[in-house]
Amino acid sequence: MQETANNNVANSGYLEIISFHLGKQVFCVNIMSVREIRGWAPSTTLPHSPPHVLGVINLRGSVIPVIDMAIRLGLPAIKPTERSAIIVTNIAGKLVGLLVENVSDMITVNNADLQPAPDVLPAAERALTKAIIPVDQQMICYLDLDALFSTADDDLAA
Amino acid sequence: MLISRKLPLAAALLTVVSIGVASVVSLQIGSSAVNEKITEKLEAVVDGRRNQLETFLANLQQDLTATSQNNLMRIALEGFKYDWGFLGADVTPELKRRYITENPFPEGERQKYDTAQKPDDAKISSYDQSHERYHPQLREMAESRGWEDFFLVDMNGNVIYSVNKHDDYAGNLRSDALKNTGIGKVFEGILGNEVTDRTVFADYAAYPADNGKPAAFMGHALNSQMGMVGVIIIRVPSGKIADIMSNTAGLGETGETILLNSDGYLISDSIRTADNDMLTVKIDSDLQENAAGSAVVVGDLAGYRNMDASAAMTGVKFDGADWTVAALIDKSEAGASMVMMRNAILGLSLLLLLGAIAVSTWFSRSMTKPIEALVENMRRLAEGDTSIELAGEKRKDEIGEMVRSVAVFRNAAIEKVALEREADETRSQTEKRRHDREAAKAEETALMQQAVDSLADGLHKLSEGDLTIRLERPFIESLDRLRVDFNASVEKLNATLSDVSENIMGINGDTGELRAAADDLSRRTEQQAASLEETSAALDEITATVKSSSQRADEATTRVAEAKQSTDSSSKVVAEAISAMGRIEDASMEISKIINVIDEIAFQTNLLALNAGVEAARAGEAGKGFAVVAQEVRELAQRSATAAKDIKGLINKSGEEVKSGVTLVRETGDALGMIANHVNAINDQINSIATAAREQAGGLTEINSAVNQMDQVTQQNAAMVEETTAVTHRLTSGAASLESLVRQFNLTGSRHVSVPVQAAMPGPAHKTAASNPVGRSKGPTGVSASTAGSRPVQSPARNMLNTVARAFGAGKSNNPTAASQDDWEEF
Repeated sequence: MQETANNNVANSGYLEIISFHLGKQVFCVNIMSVREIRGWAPSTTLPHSPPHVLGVINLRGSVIPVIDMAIRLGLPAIKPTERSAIIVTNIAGKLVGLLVENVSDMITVNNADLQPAPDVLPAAERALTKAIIPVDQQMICYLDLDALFSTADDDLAA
Repeated sequence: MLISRKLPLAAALLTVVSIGVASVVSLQIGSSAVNEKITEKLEAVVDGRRNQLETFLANLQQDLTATSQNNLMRIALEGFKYDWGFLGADVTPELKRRYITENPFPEGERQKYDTAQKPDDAKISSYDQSHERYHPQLREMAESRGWEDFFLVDMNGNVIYSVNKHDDYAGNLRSDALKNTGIGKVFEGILGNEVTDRTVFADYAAYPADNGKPAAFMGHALNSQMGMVGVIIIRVPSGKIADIMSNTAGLGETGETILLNSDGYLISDSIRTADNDMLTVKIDSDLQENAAGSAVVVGDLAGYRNMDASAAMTGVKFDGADWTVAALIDKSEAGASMVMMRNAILGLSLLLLLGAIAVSTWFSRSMTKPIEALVENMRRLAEGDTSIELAGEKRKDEIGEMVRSVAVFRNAAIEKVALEREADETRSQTEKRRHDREAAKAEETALMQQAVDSLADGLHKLSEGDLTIRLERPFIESLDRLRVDFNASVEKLNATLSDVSENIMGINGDTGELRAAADDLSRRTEQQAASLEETSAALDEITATVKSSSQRADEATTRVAEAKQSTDSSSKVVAEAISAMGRIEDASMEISKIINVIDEIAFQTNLLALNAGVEAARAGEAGKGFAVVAQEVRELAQRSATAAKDIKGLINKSGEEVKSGVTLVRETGDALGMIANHVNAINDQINSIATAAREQAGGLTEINSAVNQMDQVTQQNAAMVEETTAVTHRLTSGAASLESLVRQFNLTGSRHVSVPVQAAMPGPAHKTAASNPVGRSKGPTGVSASTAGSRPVQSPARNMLNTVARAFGAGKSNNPTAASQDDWEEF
């Protein structure tokens, strides 16, 4: 599916993203990797899980893990409120819920507007940020979910 | 028979009878009391001894039982039994030889021999060694407990050990010599009946092994785990029993307590006899049979120790032995106190009898002697001898009465002779005095006539007003005082009339002064009336002022009440405003809740729209249109969320406004409350002003009554002035008439004064009446009231009072006399 999305980007020259807030920072993911957006609901904690794995929730019969995106990206932890949301994404064929502070918008951007991330971080960390998208006065960090959760998968597997 | 003999005899007889009866009765009572006391004492003693004896025997049993459980006894028994076996068939003669015949100590002290083993003996006997080991301990035990002997016996009846080594030592208790003795019976009693848990006792009997001395035995089985292994037997300590029985405290010289066995033999040695009485002295008495139980019986006991004794007995039962404890005392000793009592009573009765005879003899003598003397005197008086001496007049008894009666007869006889002599002397003296008196009378009558004539002449002249007459010639002595008094009277009359004449002149002068004073008084009364009028006017004004201030105060009170009502209603309005604000707050809260719901709906809608957008994007080109719709929905949701947020802000703001409004309204309420308080304070002040006005009105009423009184006093003063004027006039005319009367007399040294008579001059009186504002109709003689007339004149004071009264309303004018007294005519 990731490839399909990339293909879409390449073909159309446009990219549709869902942007969300973590603190004051705005991030976004490709809309094609999103399956559903739901309001926040308490999750069941798993024993010995890493700090960013909040637990699991029941999504219409199937159990999916929920990740606190703020912790995963090295930011201060989010305190979940009624206005928080869980973005259910399909990463490498697995459903993963991402806890975000607030889903802000659904934006269509031109591929030409994507700016590469500056080359100052180690390779592993740099791989998390696919690109930077300036929209209006904001800088939106376009996250590479596959890179983000290749390690997360390991954690879950562990 | 003479009275002097009868009286002593009667007294002696009476004394003998009364003393005799009293002593017989008291002796009877005393005797029974003493007997009862002795009986009680004997009972108490015998009961005490019985208890002591029972305690002692129980202790003895306990001791023996305890000893039988002592391990030492069993060890010693086993030791001696073992050694006994080694001594072979001739064990009895061998041991008797060693410890009796070869015993260095005499009989009675054999127990001091500890062992027959001698240091130089080549052969060592194990029995002697055991004896040396156990004998001192066992001897000490027997001696400390008072046992007379102590035996260890094996199951065959061999006495394998005894402390005192009498002939029974080393013998067999089943042998003919010992089986019928007390110790043999005890052994058979224990072994034959297999008594292992209690003591067995054999009563006192003569014991042949100890020279036939009386002995009683007590034994107990020695038990081991296998059963009975032997018997210990003691000889009962008779000495200790004797110690208990020999206590004779409270039993006098002859009394004692003894212990008898069932056959009536003594089994305790009596301390009153030198010999040993045990089992040798026997007492035959029915008392012992009656005393078989535990009850105490009392009775007489004859024969014992050659005494006739009182005795108390009671039974002691002990392990098959029926003993009797007896306490006894010689009757002669018990009755000794009775004999003493009888002798004392007899001696005392004799003394009383002698005393009674002596006293009665003296008493009869004292009565018969004066009677004899009186009889002699009466005989002499009857013969006419009045010189008799009477003794005993002062006695207070019947003889005294008799003597006094005789004295009365004697005195009557003496008096009769004296009276006859006196009557003869009186008669001759009276006759001589009568002659002298008649001569003196004739001379006196002539002199009296002369004096009366002279006095009549003087009186005649006096009646003609001549006060110069004097009687110069003296009268007879008895009437001369009459003359001197006449002269003095005329002189006095003359002086008096001269003084009267002078006084009349003085009175005339005083009358003039009196008139002037009356004038003055009249003028002042007038001035007072004027002052009263002014006071009345002033009071009028004051009354009006007080009334008006009272009205103002009332009005102010009304206004204050209205103001108070207004503040009360405003505070209600404030309360309502506050509650209205509260309701607004509640409504705002409700709106807030609804807005929250709308906000929630907007959020959910946003999420739905996002999901729709996601779906549309995934659908690619086909979903393009749908994506637009989803975008629109999202925008709508965001707008409604924004609107909800705005409304929330507005509502919060209005809530704050309401809060400040509530605070302000509350402050307004507080301010109104303060105003109400001030209004109340003002109300109090005005009330006190009204009260003060009322008090002033009260004060004015009092002033009114004072003015009223002053008015009355003024009236009375006016009346008094008129009366004074009239009296002055009467005084003047009285002085004139007095003067004319005095003139009728011819006085010596005459100094008649001419009095200016002013009978027809009512000037001052006239003036008084005219100047008086008070109308007068009934003046005294000559005082005219024509100027004043009979017209009623208003009193200024009264006028003022009425004004005041009217000022204070109808209630003040309810004095009915006020109206009727407007008119001064009444005065």
